[in-house]
Amino acid sequence: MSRPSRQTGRALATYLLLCVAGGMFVLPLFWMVCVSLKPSAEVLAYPPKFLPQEPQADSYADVFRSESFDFLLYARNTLVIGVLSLVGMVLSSSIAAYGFARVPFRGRGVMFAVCLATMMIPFPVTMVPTYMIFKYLGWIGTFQPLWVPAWFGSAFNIFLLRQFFMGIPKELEESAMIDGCSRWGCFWRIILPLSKPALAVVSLFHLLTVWNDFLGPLIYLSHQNQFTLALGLQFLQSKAGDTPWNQLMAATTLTIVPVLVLFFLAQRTFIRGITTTGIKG
Amino acid sequence: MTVRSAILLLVLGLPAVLLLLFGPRNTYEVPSDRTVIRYWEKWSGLEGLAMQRVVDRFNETVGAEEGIWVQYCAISNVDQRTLVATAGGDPPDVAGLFDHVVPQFADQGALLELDDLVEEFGIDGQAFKPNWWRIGVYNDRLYALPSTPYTIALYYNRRLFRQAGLDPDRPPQTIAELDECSRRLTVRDEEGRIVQAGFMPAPALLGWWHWVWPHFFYANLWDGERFGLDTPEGLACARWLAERRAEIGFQEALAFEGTAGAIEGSQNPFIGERIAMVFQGPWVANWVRTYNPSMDYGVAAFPSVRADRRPAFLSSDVFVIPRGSRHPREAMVFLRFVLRQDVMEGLCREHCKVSPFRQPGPDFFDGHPNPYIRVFDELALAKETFGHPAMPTFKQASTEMLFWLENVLQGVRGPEEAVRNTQQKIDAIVNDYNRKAERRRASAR
Amino acid sequence: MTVRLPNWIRGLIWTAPWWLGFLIFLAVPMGMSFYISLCDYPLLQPPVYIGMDNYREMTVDPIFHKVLSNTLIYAACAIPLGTVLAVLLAVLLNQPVRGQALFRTCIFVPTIVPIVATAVIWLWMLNPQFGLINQGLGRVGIEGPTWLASPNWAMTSLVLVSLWAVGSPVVIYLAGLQDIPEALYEAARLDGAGVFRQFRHVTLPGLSPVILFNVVIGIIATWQVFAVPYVMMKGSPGPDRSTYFYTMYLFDNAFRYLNMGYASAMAWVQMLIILALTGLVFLVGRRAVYYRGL
Repeated sequence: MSRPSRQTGRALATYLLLCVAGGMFVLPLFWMVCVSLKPSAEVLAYPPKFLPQEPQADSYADVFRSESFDFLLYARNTLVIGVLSLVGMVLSSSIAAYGFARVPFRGRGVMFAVCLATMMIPFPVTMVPTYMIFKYLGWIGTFQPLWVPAWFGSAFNIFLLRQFFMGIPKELEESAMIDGCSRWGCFWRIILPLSKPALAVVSLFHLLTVWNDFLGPLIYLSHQNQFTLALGLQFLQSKAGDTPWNQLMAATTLTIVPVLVLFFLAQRTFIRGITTTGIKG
Repeated sequence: MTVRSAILLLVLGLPAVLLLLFGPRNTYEVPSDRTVIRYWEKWSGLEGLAMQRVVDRFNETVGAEEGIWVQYCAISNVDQRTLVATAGGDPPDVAGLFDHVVPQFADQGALLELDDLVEEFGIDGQAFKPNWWRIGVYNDRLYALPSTPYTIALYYNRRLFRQAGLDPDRPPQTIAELDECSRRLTVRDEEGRIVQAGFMPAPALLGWWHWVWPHFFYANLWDGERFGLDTPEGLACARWLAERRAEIGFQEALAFEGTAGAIEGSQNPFIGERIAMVFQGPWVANWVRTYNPSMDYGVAAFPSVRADRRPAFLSSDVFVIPRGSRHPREAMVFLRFVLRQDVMEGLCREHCKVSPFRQPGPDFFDGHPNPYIRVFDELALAKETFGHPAMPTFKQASTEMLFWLENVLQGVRGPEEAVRNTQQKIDAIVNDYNRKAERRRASAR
Repeated sequence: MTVRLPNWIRGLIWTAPWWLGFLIFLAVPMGMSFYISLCDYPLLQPPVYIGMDNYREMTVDPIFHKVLSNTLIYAACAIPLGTVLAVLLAVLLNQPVRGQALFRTCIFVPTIVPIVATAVIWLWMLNPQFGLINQGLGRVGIEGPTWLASPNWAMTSLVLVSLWAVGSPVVIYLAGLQDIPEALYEAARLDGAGVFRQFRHVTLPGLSPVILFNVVIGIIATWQVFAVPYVMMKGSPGPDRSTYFYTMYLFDNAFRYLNMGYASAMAWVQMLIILALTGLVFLVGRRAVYYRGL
């Protein structure tokens, strides 16, 4: 039995498969960038070629000049919503998670089970009445419906933070409380600083969710100058009279780039976040 | 702090903060001493700019005098968003919609009745061609005012006509002639693929009004009570569609449809001279000018079964005031300005559409970008005209008609079966709607 | 603070952010939505109580049947295919090769792309004439279908697009794989098991709890599919309604036809379906899933 060659054979096969798979997954993104750099004549040339023969950045300039897609404005709108909702989300999720983790009270287990169960409720069930509630508040057509609910936390993040908090040894808080520290003080001065990794995961995933959110802005926003990037991109794509494909791809690239940069710089946090919820869940 | 976090902060954090602090704001600059009214429109791009100029003119002249400021917003899916916003309690003060949504919106109580307002603010319906004024009327009440109107006609490529041995000054007047011309204009390559088509009523090939074809067989799709597809006329149309398609070949036709490129560009099937005849509106002249200025084309009334009876299709954009608009009177001041003959005709000219007025101004036709604009204008005065079916359930019916057309054109269903099927579906939709309305009325008593 | 509040009050205060949100944005709306589902409510006019009529109408509405079957087919294709693909990729990515991190990144990146961007990119990829897919097929001599324009291939296109985002479950499976003790593989090899038998008898059972988790998540997600088909089909129901999904019809009923009562009824039925399917999966899981040391 020639073990070494069998192993190298297997390693080679694995490597090949990985190259093919990896390539196929990244191909659409790579192609998106190629199309965005093609001049208009090449985009619809027949027979079509993969790489741009004469790459140009004109499409990007057009996108920045276009009044159907104000990239900076949409990015800012998305950021405003993101930051406002992030602050609320982190605060409220961690406070509630601490309550579930450290404050013993009757019915805590039941309440937490209900909290988890709410993750299974599909969005459409509450979509219509929530819309009506915001209508009576006069919030339709503003940013409020997109960030105010975040100030009440989310079951997903509460679950994540609770698991993390429960992993912190109780002795730290117990000794602090003996010294006269209140529960709130323990939370603010001991638990939170120690939870930076978990908070990073929560923040990252929340920002990603806001950046990608489409249904919310679709329902609640109406003025073009309020659009987020996701909605703006869809508006550009659905225009009657068709947007040129290279411009559309340029706009898409611009929308994706910040997220990709964030991912590459914070890779480990991303992966850790998914695995902790996936495994413990 | 690790190197990674430092880079993260610099590359993303810094631009984010800069954007938040100094980036473009989503608030408009409005003068504080005027009443601000919101105007939602579907137009962006060049058409939007033309309307923005009108709005600017208003704000500088009449608006300044009366203390009104109009905020122009280009909205995507403007009709759906206006409906939802009106239902959500936050409607714009005036909106530019399509004529075909007026029955639905009016029936659901989303629009303000304009009869009294129009009289009070002195907008004279008599100054307009009756067809254009009637477009905003539903159940004998006025709900919408004409915005930029248009008729749709047959465009034909004169060069391709000559090439096929047809007389470019005698476009087809009957369906039979249309078929004959189309046959002679169809060109295939060695493998049997179509490279040039005569006439194909496909939505992908600029056949935007996919429900319209039965009208040219004299079907009346909506008489106020019942949808009229399952009639001898409707069946005749379905058979015509199926037979012509079978003649060309279902697969070849579908493949040819797939080659239709973007409308705004040289890949536009008509501008790119790959299809010789299309059913389109006056704005095609703008496309020609931009993408194929030397194109030799002509315009004529669209053929029907008989040459002496050719119904003309007319449609228009409209202005409405949603129910719950906070400033309906200021909106009317603005609309009165926009509907001034010089203002409106300037807009129609820039949008390359016809004028809604009975007596268009002298410079309307002269300065118009479409050389055949008089043909379009005359169609509005034709003996027999029709518009979108004035059904509150037109949206759903239109979707069913699209499936009907696709089924027939792709050979999925035979013409008779498709007609029966679609008629049943639309009947169900209409009955359902009426039943609910009746129940609503009953409970209100 | 000298007053010592009873524990249950302190607990309620700490968890207040959550249960306040639960009441305002979940419990009350769900109650409202149930009541609305029993009404005819066009939003522009006040609601009118009609009892179970909306639910009755669902049983005879052909469009409802179509979207139900479409969503069922979509889920039935996307979940198994996605699971198989994700497990295989995870096993592949678990192999010690050079550049492992790079490959993992490649497979994961598509999941962070905004949904709208995904839809736009794949719209172009699947373009019958200029898209990469048909170009590639053309090089091999196959004439590609018209994908999104064809009633037969539109659903396939969407399943394909959903497989692109398989990186997220892959990462979870990777972590799950690393939890399987090497000793088990050793024991299997000693018993003479080859690669495939090791996979069947060690890997799969070891991964089964994770598979269960991902399948449940998959059910919840695929039954609510909306954004990608909505953007790709520009809000229309697709050729012959072949890509018209449950949530899209719900959305149209609510925000296009202003049929809020019917939309709410659809939402409740959707929730019941998801709960039922999840329950079914858990029941099957009780026998098929192997919980190591739990």
